[in-house]
Amino acid sequence: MNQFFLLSAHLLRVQISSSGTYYILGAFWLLLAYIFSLSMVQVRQANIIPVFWWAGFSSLFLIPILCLNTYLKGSVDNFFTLQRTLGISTASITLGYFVQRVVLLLLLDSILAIQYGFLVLYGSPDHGLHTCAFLGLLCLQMAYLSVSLFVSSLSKDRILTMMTSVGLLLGLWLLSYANQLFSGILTPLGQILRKGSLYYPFSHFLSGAFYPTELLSLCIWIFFPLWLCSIQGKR
Amino acid sequence: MRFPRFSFFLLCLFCAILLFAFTLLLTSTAPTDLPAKLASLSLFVLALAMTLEAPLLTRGVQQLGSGANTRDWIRSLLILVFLIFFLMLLERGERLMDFSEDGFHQLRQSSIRFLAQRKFSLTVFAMRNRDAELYGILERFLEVLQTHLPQASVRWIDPSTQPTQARESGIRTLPSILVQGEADTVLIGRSQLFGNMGKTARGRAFYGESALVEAVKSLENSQVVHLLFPELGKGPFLDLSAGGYSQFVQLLKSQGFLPSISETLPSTSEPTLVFLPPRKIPLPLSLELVKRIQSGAKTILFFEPSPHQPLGELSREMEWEYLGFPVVDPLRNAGNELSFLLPHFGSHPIAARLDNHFPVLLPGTSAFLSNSPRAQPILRSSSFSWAENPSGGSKNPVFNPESERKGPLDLALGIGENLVLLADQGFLSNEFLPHPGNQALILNSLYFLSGRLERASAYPKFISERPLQVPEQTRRNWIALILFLLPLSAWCIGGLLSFLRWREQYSSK
Amino acid sequence: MLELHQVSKRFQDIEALCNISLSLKKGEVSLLLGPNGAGKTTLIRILAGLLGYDCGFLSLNGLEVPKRGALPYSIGYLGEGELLDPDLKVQTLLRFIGLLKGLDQSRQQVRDWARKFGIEHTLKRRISHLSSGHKQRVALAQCFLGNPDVLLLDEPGNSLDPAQYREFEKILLRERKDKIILLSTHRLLDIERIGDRLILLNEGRIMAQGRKEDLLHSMGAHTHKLVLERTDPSLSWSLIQSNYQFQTQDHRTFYFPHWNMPIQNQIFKLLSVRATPVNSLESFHQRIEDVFFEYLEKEKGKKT
Repeated sequence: MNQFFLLSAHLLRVQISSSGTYYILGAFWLLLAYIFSLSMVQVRQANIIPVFWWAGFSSLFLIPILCLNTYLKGSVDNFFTLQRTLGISTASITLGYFVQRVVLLLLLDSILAIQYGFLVLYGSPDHGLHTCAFLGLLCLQMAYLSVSLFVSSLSKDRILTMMTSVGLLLGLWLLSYANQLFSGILTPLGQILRKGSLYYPFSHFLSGAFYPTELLSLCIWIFFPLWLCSIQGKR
Repeated sequence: MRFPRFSFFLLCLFCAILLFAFTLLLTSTAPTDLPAKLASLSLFVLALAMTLEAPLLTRGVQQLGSGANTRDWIRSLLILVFLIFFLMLLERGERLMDFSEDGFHQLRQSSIRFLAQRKFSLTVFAMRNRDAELYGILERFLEVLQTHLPQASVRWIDPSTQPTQARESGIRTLPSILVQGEADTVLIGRSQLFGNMGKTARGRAFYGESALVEAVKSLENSQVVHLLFPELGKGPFLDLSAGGYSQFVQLLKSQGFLPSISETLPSTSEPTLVFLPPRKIPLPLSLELVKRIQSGAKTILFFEPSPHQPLGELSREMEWEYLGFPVVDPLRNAGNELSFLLPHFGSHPIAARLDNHFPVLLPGTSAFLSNSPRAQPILRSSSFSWAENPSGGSKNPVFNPESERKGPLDLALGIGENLVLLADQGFLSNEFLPHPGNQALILNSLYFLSGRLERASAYPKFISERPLQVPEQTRRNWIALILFLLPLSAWCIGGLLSFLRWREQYSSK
Repeated sequence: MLELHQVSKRFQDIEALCNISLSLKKGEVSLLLGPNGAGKTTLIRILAGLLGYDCGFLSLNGLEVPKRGALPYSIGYLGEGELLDPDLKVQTLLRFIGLLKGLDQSRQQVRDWARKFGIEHTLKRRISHLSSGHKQRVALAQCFLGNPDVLLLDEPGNSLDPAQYREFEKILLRERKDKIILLSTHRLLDIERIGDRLILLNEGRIMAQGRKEDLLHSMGAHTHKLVLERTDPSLSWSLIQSNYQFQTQDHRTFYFPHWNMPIQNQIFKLLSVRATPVNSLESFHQRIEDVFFEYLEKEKGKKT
């Protein structure tokens, strides 16, 4: 456990001192600032829920990029391998990388908190709704992160990793429309596929209400790929 | 130099098309479907790139788990199957966790109690792809309904795939819900479900709960209600037009009441609405009213500013005083865009079921005064209002302490369990009758008098969108500036770190 | 003592290791030799816990090491590729590894090892800005940090110049007394300079293993060379009859793999009987690479 904390602290230090982190932060913040300002300046309404939606959708492309280099630094024997020889379990290493990127996600989403602060200052936003939406966004992004980490652990080819991650995440997003494709006898299949998608529970979080199974489904999407990641790297 | 693979170019093309589509979406001022088409094209490009990479991908999958053994993978698969099965089991009877302030997604307990005691089935007519947002709201509402009322059967019909059934059911708008009782059916149309289709300042309204409750009510035996309009069609309020009196009658019918128009006061004890004439009340009517109310018959009295002190004997007996003059809120004179008064709700059971988000609207009203313990306020004015001198007509009325009283004043009173006094018939005029809050007030009064207060309607709920109260352009611009400064700062920090690293590398060389 | 018992490892249709049994003792430097693709790296990675194996088992001091879970010994590992995070500074990396190895005074130890490997001046530089030689020294330093029980070094000489490699040899010999060291190398000079035990691997199988001297002897590395003034075929015949091991091409120059006083006396006796004058008698060491390649060729010949 101690090694896990050491690893996480080390990875976080590396993250904060990396210039790439700030470039990504800037780009993401710019996009969300633009959307928020658009609604505020043009429509005279500061509605932050579309900003959450855009944050969720743009993360679909951003997070695979963040995970590209996780297992690819160096050549065959790399830092990941070295850590394993130091007695750190693959689960700890995987979790360490995961925690590092979750902190980055929290930094990325911090602009939503600032925007919400403006709503609190000048309006009367629904605290419950927005907290729920933020929770949904964080769970969605963590699910993206898990899936992307798992895909990047399968191959050392950057193009393949990027393509597969984005394709898989897009597919999971579009699964939410599965019930439109299936009708008649196949309707239950469409409904199951929809519930397995990432977007379906996220959309409910955005509306301020969700079922416990939807939260559980997102948790499965977060932890199961991480589990696969850790057993993938075992000896 | 190694030339990148073709799929790399396809990936770049995919990113470029998507970026262009989103830029178009975010910057276009006129509606266009070009972003959607570009997004579809980008998906096609991605699919093509993945097809080209399929051999590599297959090899990668074959190589996966070079460390883990088959047992690990089988164990993982079993865990996944178990989790899916567990999720499916949990779904049965799970409760919605609703964090929205209004409890938008929940049904009120009173509605649940009411509906649980009734037998009905629902047929929903809706097309998902046409009204995605409405469909989503409706779907969620019915999911919650079925969680609380598992005995209610719900059937979905998509008119695009089952046009005959839709046509035979007589639906005209989508989405619609057909409520079937034991002997009768009621159709809830789109406007009843979603009201004014444009988004209001408060967001998307959804009246599904109230519409369903009203529909189920109307399937039952109706409660007779007598309406006494001594001068129907002559006053400035409810007239004989389609948007007037007949709309009011329709409303009562839809709520399970059977209105019966009388020209004279009925001798029954059934609830009776009496619209007192604006001028002096004829003495016979006055005497009959006093007799009726003193006998305990259920009555709602609508008053107008004049005459002063009608029903004197009754007023004395019931210990209320009718002030009769219009009460004006000072905001009206401050240039507020509201041209009507928004009263506050009192502690009476009728008002307790009214919703603060959708108040009763009045153009102006009279007031009552009572210290009787039997009297309970239903509507009250603000504490800042005062009575305007009716003969003044000045823009800045001067409060006259000898003839006027400071607020809060009672605009509607409930006296005991049999009598409800409402000042100003204007709030049931053509203009204000369509407001759900106004409808709710009169209906709740009828429910109260007929002992059916549990049937008080649920009120529409809104998705909680609160507009930012930033009137000045300057302030909005400041907010936008701050939000754009943040990414700029992040880039500056990134640039500084890159510079430092470059300098390190340069000095190490 | 770390032992492997009948360990095999297969990668799909390639048998990387087949029935490998060997012992690694504390205080000894064991050299792993073999051509490319022999399985040296696979063996080292198995011992480092990076790879599983299909059958057999590992044991430490007689106790079986479980196939899964943490290894019961600490490792200093040097792989054949780039192990180090290029974005980190040397000091940061070494301190981090020191902390992971449970060192309380990691700063001091880092400085000590940096000094020993001559990389003190690079502590504040990033790994990506170092030359390959310096990177290798940093990698070696992290290996020794924390005084691990087992050192697994895969071609440690890569990128090191001769002087640097000499320093590394000194450090290795100094530190070996309480460690198990397995070193994979292509530098046959290591056999002479630092190796105590040799393990010859070819095509996933151990061809030979044992103490250096015994192995070299068994491979036919001659130790003494006797040159006569004239040819004497009868001497060859006498030596054969006396069961002495030797080699000669011209019956004038004789190579003897074993030589000690009794053997020397016996041979001189034979010579004096024949009155054959001796030109010279000297210690002779065949070049190790020649011995090695000859051995490999012999084994190949045996196979075919």
